[in-house]
Amino acid sequence: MTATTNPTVSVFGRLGARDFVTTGVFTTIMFLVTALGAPLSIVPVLLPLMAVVMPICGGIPFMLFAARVRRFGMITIMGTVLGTLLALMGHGIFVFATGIVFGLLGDLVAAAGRYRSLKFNTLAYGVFSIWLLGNFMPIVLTRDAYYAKLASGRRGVGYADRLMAVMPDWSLAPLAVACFVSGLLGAWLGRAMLRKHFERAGLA
Amino acid sequence: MTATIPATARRPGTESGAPPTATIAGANTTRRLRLDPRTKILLVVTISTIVIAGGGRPGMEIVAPALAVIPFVLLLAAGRRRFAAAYAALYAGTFAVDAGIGWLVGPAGPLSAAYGTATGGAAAGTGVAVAVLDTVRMTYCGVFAACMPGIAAGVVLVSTTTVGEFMAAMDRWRVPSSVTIPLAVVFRFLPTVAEEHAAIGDAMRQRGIMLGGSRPWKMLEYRLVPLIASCVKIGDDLSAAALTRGLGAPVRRTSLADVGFRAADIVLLGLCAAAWAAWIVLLLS
Repeated sequence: MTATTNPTVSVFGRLGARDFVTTGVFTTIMFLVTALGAPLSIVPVLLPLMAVVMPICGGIPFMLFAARVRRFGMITIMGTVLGTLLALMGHGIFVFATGIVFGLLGDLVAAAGRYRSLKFNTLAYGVFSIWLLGNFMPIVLTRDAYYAKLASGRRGVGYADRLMAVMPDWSLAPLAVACFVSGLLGAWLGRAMLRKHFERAGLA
Repeated sequence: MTATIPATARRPGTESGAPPTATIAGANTTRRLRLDPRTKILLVVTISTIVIAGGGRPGMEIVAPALAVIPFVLLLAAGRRRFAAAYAALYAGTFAVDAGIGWLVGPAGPLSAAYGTATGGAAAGTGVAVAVLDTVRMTYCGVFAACMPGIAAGVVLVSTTTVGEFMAAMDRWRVPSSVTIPLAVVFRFLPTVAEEHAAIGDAMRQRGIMLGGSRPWKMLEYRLVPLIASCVKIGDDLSAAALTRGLGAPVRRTSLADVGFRAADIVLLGLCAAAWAAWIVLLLS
């Protein structure tokens, strides 16, 4: 990015109505990109792939968004709104919490580079992508409850234990890593698109 | 409609003027039953949380279906009969499939009997069949059944609430405009993005650009890049139009939307409270 911004202006200023609308526009695109991965969830084996596909697809809109952010808070709002939308859609309340937390963390990382450093913005998207973890949490938790039901039922503890071994609770940890790494990949793709199209079109 | 997000910030040539009673989802539904948006939001949170987190706890087999009936009734009241029927069929289907597979793989079922007498390859085949059936049962009857009522309640929310009502209700809850404005923009923008997406598809077909097959990842660039570019442009127009209409003015916003709790709201809120009470009792027992 070019150093046209005044370095003495703080990134922690007040956000205006225009910033809110910009955030809303990019949140819509991110939301739809997230929804694109939804058909994957029909086939249970492909479900974890969502942690790979969604961050990669979202990298293009996010990097342009980050290039248009000037002040702290916009990425946090994006995470909050995405979390709210998915929570209202019935994905559970966990995604609301992860949306706020990883939105805020991503915002802080990008702010460290004053929203002008491609390196920091890339890292910020990797961190931000972990918000998708909130989508998997209720599935793991329901499965847990389902095991409890199985274990108390006719099929017994042994059967429930065997199923437990196939899909353990710690699967959230590799999913978080997958989100982060795919986020970095997506951001790298977004950077290429930024250079190839958006900067030339005068949008970045 | 709301005073903050003008529906007129639309490029000339695009046809879909929002009808006066357009809801968040853009669909025009008949509204025989008027509910406060806050009731609907609490309903979504209650249903999705209790049905999902309740899982297989004893007692939930009564609470969860009871909660699942609420969005069905509200969908009917909103005139969305076909969606309501599909929801009811899918949800009832989970019980039928659960019982059916339970019998097939259960100790008295034919698969167990076959497993007991079969040898070698036949036994392995039966084992695989049992595993597949159990996976289907777990995803469809466990995960899917738990998610469906919450999603149906969410459909009720977005298909029966106007953006103006939504903003007014959020204002009553003191939700900051830093969250409500982007949320309202998302609701306003979803149909726009779909429209732009269709336009890009048309343009590509017109020029004979066929994708897929050999290079599916190119799809991402050819589709997403122009989509983002046009959305950003429309967004800039939207900001300009909204700013001239007083969005971001340093005064408290007022609304014409008629928002408030009525008898139906109180009944539904009572049901929510009862569900939470039942859930807590089940947790403690």
